[in-house]
Parts: sequence; structure tokens; C-alpha cells
Amino acid sequence: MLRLELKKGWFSVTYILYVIFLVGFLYSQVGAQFDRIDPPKPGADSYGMRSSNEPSIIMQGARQSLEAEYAANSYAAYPLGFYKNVKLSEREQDRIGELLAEIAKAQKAQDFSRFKQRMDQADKLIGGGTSYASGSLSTFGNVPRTYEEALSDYNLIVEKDRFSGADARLFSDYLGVMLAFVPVFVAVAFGMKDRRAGMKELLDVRSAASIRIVGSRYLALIIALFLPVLLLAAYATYLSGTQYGWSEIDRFAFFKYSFGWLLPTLLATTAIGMFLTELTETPIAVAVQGIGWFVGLNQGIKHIDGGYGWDLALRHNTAGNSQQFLDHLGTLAANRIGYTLLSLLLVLATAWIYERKRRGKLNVRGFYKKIRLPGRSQSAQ
Amino acid sequence: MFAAFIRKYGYLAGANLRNNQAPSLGIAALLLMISPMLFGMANRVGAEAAEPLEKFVSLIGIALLTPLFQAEQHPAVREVLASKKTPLAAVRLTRLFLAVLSLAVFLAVYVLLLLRAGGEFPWLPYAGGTFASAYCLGAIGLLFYSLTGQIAIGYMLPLMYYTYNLMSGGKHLGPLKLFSMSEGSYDEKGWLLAVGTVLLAASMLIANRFDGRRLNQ
Repeated sequence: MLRLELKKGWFSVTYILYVIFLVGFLYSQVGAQFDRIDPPKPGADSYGMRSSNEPSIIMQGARQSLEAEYAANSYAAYPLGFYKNVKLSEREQDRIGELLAEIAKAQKAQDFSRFKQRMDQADKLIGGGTSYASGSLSTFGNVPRTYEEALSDYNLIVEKDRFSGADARLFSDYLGVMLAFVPVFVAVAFGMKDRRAGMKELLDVRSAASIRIVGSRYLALIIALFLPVLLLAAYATYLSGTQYGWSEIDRFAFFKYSFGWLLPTLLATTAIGMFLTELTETPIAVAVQGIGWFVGLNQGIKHIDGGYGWDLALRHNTAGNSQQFLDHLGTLAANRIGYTLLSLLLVLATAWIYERKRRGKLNVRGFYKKIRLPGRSQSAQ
Repeated sequence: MFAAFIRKYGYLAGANLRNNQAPSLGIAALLLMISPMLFGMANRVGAEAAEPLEKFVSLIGIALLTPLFQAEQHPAVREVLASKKTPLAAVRLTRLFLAVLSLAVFLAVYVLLLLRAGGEFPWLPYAGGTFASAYCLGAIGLLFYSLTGQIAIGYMLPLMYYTYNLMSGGKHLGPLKLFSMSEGSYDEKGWLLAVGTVLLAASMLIANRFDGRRLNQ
């Protein structure tokens, strides 16, 4: 059964388009080769920026920003990751004015905890999602990196990541964004194919258990969809080996990241596509996953250089930043295990729905007919 | 004669709206309703207004145009429709007209709401620019649906084109960039309208030609 499903998947147009898009997208972002990671040179103009938790720097930056927005009565907020411009009423503006006076006092007294409380109040007044929320205040603490700090980051890349690990995170960042959306098309097309080809009725009367039919289909989809990822990982390993020398790199890094970082994303996207297609017998999964992907993509910008959270597509849009990765490994693992379990639950739910349909206990088409608006389009002709 | 034409096609349009295009209209309306939750609507000035319009509202073109020929996907339905006095091509054209009209109405309402919420932007070029992006995306969808007969592919191609534009900023796409308005350029919109029209015409031709072949077999 698995072999038949695999054959069906590999020769479908959606699958070919999926492969083309995956390869094309990665090429458009990375180019023919990952940028070489070189040690920092002493005396350079800049070594980039890093976030600091220094209260005096954060307080200065945050207060100045709030003062400027207060003067213009134009506040930037990102409640769901998207930019929103907020304009306050006269009464709310007065309250911000009062808060600013208290904020200035807290800054003068170097009382960071009171400063954060007042900033939180300002954030709530604006409607939430601003950089003044205590959890986001660190964005005002960005300071230039020193040579020593840049060298320490480089040493981590050499010792812990062995170059290929750092590139593998960038590889996973790009492919993860795609795998959180594109596989849903293949899953939907797969789910709707049997119905279109009149195969559904033939499958319904087979003796195979529903979980076996649904499980084989899911497994076939995952094998087919993951194969190009593994081939790309192999090619990236080759590029890394020729760039840094085979003895310098971790030869399994791209594969480790493919299984640990990317596979759970693929499992979840495919399971959502299969579940919603089986449940509704429509391509609604495309809209649901598309909107979820769009919102997730914008929310992920908050921690685009690592830090993670509960995003389906984990972001780490930088080669390096290894300490950030190591510090948040626990969050990352919890996230990946969570999505894997969710996928398994969705596959079981799909099998349950399939079973009920086979036994005639669930009729989705009948449900649509009941809610359909009255009218006779055919007779109009 | 003219009255009879209006009566016939008016009835046809109403029946199609109820039976075939209602789900697409519902999804487009839902997308527009979600938009304020994601982006907010208040005080959008200049290019700030272009962002939700181009990057989100333009998606309604895919919802409205891509599934236009789905009603007669089943060969049996196509045969019944082909036996009617009104040519199937005329039915499809009516649906296309309705979908494009719905797109214009949805966009007009959304732009009006943005203006009422304190927006300050050149409303006509912005509405026109968003229409061009939505129209082209929908036309890509309808073309690939006509070519393959698979609705998943119909949705996949325009959404991949949109995703590429979103992630790469339209790199390598020249005048066919979807989100140029956010960067202050309208030249691309004329191209998108022209390409969209060619693709829609091609979709009609392909759908009608395939019907003829299938029915003559």
C-alpha cells in the first residue's frame, strides 16, 4: 500500500512544483554557496550589534522613543507582528504624559523595576504589542559588538558548530519557512485526487483498516516530501566540506538539523492539510494554513535571529549567533516535540473521520447540501 | 431583445452567485474581515496604507478568480451544461465578469473604510494598484486550474508567486513585482493588469477548447 501511495505522490504535478519551489527558493536566498564565515579582523569599523541587558541604555532609548511618539501622538505597535499605527484620545494622551513624568523620575533614580512597570502601563494604554512592554524593552538595549565579543562568537562557531552547524541553522531557517506552508498543497491535492478519480468508493470497501490506509498515505507523503530536503542537505554538506575542508566540519550537521528542526514542521503542515481535506472535502486547508503561516511569519520576526518560541517555522536568520541557539535549546526541543505530537493526533483524528465516513456515519456532502442556499442555476440556461 | 438579454443573464448571474460563487465571496469577505485584526486600519498614511492593501488584501483575487470553472469540473456536469442553449463560454464569461466586479467592489469598500479610519493616501492609485495585483494573482490561479483541472494547483501557483514576492522583495521579477506600491512605484501595476488580462483570456480559451475535445470524444 505504501509503495502505491509513494508512486502516486512522486508523479503528481503538485509534488514536482513543490520540489521546484523548494530548490528555487533556497537558491534565491542563499545563492550558489553559503557566505564564508571568517574570523573577525582587529581594527574593523563595525562588528555588528548585540543586545545588551544594561538598564541605563534601555531606559535612555525607551524613554526617548516614547517621548517622540507622544509628541506626534503616533505610536507604533505590532500586536500580531504587523505594523499598526495607534492614535490616542486626549485623555489617554494626558495619561501617557503623566506616565512619562514618572518614567523620567524612575530613570533618574535608576529604578529599573519601577521603570518597567510604568512602561508596561504605557504599552497597555496604547493597546499592547509595542516595544515598551517589559518583555520587549531589550530592543532598546542594542549596542555595538566589540572585537573580543565577535571573536568569542566565531570561536563558538568553530568549536561547537564546526562551521556546517551554523550554516545548517540558516538552511533550516529558509526551508522551515517554506515547509510550514508549501506541503499543504501536496496534501490537499493527494486528498482530493481519490474523489476526483472515483477511487474513494473502491477504497471504502477494502478490508484494510482505516488507520492503515490513512497512515500509509501520510507516511508516503512524508517520505516523498522529506526526500528533497535530505538531498538538499547532502548538497549543502558537500558545499560546506569543499568550503572549509572536510576535517573542519560536522558532516552530519545538515542531516541532524533536517530531522530535528525541519521534519516536525513538515509533519505538522502535512497532517493539517490531510486532516482538513478529509474533514471538509474542500481545499480549505490552503486558506487555513496560509493565514496561519502569514501570521506566524510576521510574529517570528520578533526573534528572527534565534530565541524561538512556539512558531511552526522556527527562525534563525543568521549564520552564527550560536550562544543564542545554545541558550534556547530547551525551548526549541519542547517546540519540536509539541508539533510532532500534534501531528500524530491529527493523523489519528483523520483516520477516525475516514472510518466514520466508510461506515456511513458521516456525510459531509449531505451536510453541504443542507446548508446550501436555494436556487436552480442549471435551469437558467 | 435587449430586455430579454438582460433578464436572461441577470438570472444567470444571480443563480451563479448563489450556487457557485458564494463560497469564494465568503472567503474573500473573511480575508477582508481578518485584515483589521492583523494590521489595524487607523491612521494609515502614504505607503503605510499600501502594506495591508498589497500584502494581504490582494489575496482576495485568488479566492475570487481561481475557482471560477470548478462548478463544471465533473465531466457529467459539463455534458449537461453543453446541451443547454446558452453556450458554456457565455456562462463562464458571466462568472468572470461577476468575479472581477466583486473584486472591484470589495476593494472600493476596504479603501473607503481605510479613509474613514483616518487614512491619508492617494486612494484611486492605491485601489487601482491593489486591483492589479489581485487581478494578476487570480488570473495565474485560473490559468493553472484550467490547464490541470486541479484546484490545489490553481491555488498553489499564485500563492507561491505571492510568497516569493513576500520573501525576496520581488528580486528577479522586474516589472512583474507584486508589491511595488509600498516602494512608491506604480509602473508595475500596468504590467500586472496586462499580464492578468492575457492569462484570463488564455484560461477561457483553454477551458473552452478542452471542453470541446472531451465532449467530442
